[in-house]
Amino acid sequence: MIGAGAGGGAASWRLAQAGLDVVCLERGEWTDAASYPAATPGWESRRVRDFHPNPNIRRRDTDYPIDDSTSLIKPLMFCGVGGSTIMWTAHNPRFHPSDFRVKTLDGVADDWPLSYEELAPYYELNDRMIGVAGIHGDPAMPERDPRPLPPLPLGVGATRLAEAYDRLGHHWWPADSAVLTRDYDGRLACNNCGPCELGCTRGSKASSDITYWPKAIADGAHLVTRAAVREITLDERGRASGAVWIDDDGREHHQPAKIVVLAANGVGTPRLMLLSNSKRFPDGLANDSGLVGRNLMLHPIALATGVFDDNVDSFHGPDGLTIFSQEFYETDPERDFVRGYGVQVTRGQGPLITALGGFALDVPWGRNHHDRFEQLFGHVVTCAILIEDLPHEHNRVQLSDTVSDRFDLPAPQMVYELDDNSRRMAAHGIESSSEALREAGAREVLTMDMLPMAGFHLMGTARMGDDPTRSVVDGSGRAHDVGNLFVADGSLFTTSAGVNPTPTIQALALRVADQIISARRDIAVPTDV
Amino acid sequence: MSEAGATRGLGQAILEVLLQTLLPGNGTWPSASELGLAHAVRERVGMAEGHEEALLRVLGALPEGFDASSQAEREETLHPLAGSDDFGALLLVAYDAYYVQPGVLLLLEERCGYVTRPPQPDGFELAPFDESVLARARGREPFWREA
Ligand SMILES: Cc1cc2nc3c(=O)[nH]c(=O)nc-3n(C[C@H](O)[C@H](O)[C@H](O)COP(=O)(O)OP(=O)(O)OC[C@H]3O[C@@H](n4cnc5c(N)ncnc54)[C@H](O)[C@@H]3O)c2cc1C
Repeated sequence: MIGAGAGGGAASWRLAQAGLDVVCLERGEWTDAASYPAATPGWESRRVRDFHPNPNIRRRDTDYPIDDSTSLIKPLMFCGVGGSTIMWTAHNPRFHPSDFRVKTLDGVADDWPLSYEELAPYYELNDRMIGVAGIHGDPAMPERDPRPLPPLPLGVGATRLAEAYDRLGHHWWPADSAVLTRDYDGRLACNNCGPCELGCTRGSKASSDITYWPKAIADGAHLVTRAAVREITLDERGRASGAVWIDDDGREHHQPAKIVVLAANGVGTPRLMLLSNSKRFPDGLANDSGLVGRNLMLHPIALATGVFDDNVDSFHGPDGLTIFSQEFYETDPERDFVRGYGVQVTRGQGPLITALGGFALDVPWGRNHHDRFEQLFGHVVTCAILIEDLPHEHNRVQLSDTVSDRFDLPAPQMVYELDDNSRRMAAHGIESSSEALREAGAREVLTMDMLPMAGFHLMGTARMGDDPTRSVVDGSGRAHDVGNLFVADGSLFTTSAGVNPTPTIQALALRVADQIISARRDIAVPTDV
Repeated sequence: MSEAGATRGLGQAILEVLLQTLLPGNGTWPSASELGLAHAVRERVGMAEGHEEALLRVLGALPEGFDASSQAEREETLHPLAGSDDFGALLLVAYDAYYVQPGVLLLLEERCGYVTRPPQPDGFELAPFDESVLARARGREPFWREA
């Protein structure tokens, strides 16, 4: 297993539980919850330094640089046990059934090689494993098992938006959050401290270092940290035979394996595949389709922030969202775009981030700074419009010619531009959200067409599909070109849907593990391992 | 960098004037000078790679006589620099220093209702979810698309 993040944690647990010998190589290290910023004065300033979600700004020695000079949207992730779930804000939505059938329904992109119904049991299992708060009855989604925990309270701002949505006849629903609203599975309930993104000091937020990893290790999985994998090796018959990794001192090691699973995320996995070129695969491992790294999807985010005359307590409550609207989620031929978007109603920020412009705020420096700061601080509610990003081959991860990591390996380069469909969706989302914010009583609405620091969701770069010319792996996550190589992270996504990806990543990872478990006797593996 | 700029270090009074231009106070909120913010900025500037160099470049780009001009004139001088990454780094360090000053924290509490202690370990009350808010939303017929 390469990578101990959302997908790597889930898959490792499932495989170890079934009695397989799992070794996971992770370039980062364990994070100590006691070292997270929230318990220290000046905690907010770490958000713009060593707890920045962008590895190019954070620059820990466990991070790798990403050449983002050719991408409008900048990459956000974390390297360590737990991966990017250390920093995620734990919104835990599911794809809709239609998200798996976009070609059939709307004539765009490709259908997934599996259905919502096939994935649903894994969503349920994942919800139980990580502890999800939410409530049944959402009319935008099929019936499902009750969530293990009741939802987070809405807070003042989201309550106003919910009432406004009701008056407008728009859909809204309490968010599914992987944040414990009661003690659960030996973990403490959330105490509503706020900055989930800076790591959860109480363990109430489900990062995979505290959900899956302790269980995987108890079941015998072996996790090697500060192990940066630079190549997946092949045997003479073109089967994956293990991984070469580099330790802190620059020494190389080879970890042999009968089956290799890549879970280094939508940027790290294609990077590693492209680095692993060989005589058999001169353009990168398992890349006969030429699609490794292609079809990068990021979920562009547009913003509409409402400014209220009174204080709506917007510096309190969890960083993520407490309600969302999917009124404009499904394709409607009356609109000038295909597919749709979700609106996530989020809170404001602390004083430093507010002063720096937060979510679409216009706080000037100079004489007007103080008045404007006071008008905005605690007085804002933001609608983050999360757009379904359609896959395009020209949006991609490739190896950079100019940037390299501390081991002199080429950094991944993101090449990404927005399509017109996304731009039209952003405009529609800003208009509909502005209407909702005004209905909720906002005096003013500030907007941003595209948030640059929004590359949270890294998807599509080793996509699933039945057709080996249009995809890298099949419906079980197995590479078309290398029978004992699997992928179990965000790279798998055939399309992006209009919701956050992590529950789908973890459900897919659990399913990939089950496919390995049931097929393992038939998978041709290297004989000398 | 102008010739004057090359000799301008962070220890010089020009940094104080620059910070005062960004955060001039308004009678309620204290100004950078009243807080002696330059000292806190000097302490913070080494906390992230590249910030010191960025600040020095901004200082270096200031014309002769900047410190002797009025607030309005100084703001006008700064506007052309304002979109740059260097200026962004300056704002980050300046605001970071400003919004943790004891006098400012007091105002954040008194005027904005913001609790300035660290969010942990005490947190804040997590109110129970009130299901009655869903009365209307629950009434809607399912509208997800069959696939
Ligand atoms: C600030 C922030 C907020 C977010 N909020 C949400 C949210 O509310 N909801 C949601 O659904 N998603 C959210 N996300 C996204 C979510 O965190 C990711 O979708 C998810 O973690 C991706 O899972 P993954 O398994 O693909 O990769 P990751 O979790 O990123 O794990 C990949 C791991 O692989 C390791 N790795 C990479 N390369 C190598 C190598 N060569 N050798 C060894 N190890 C390697 C990395 O160090 C990392 O630990 C957020 C992300 C961020 C940054």
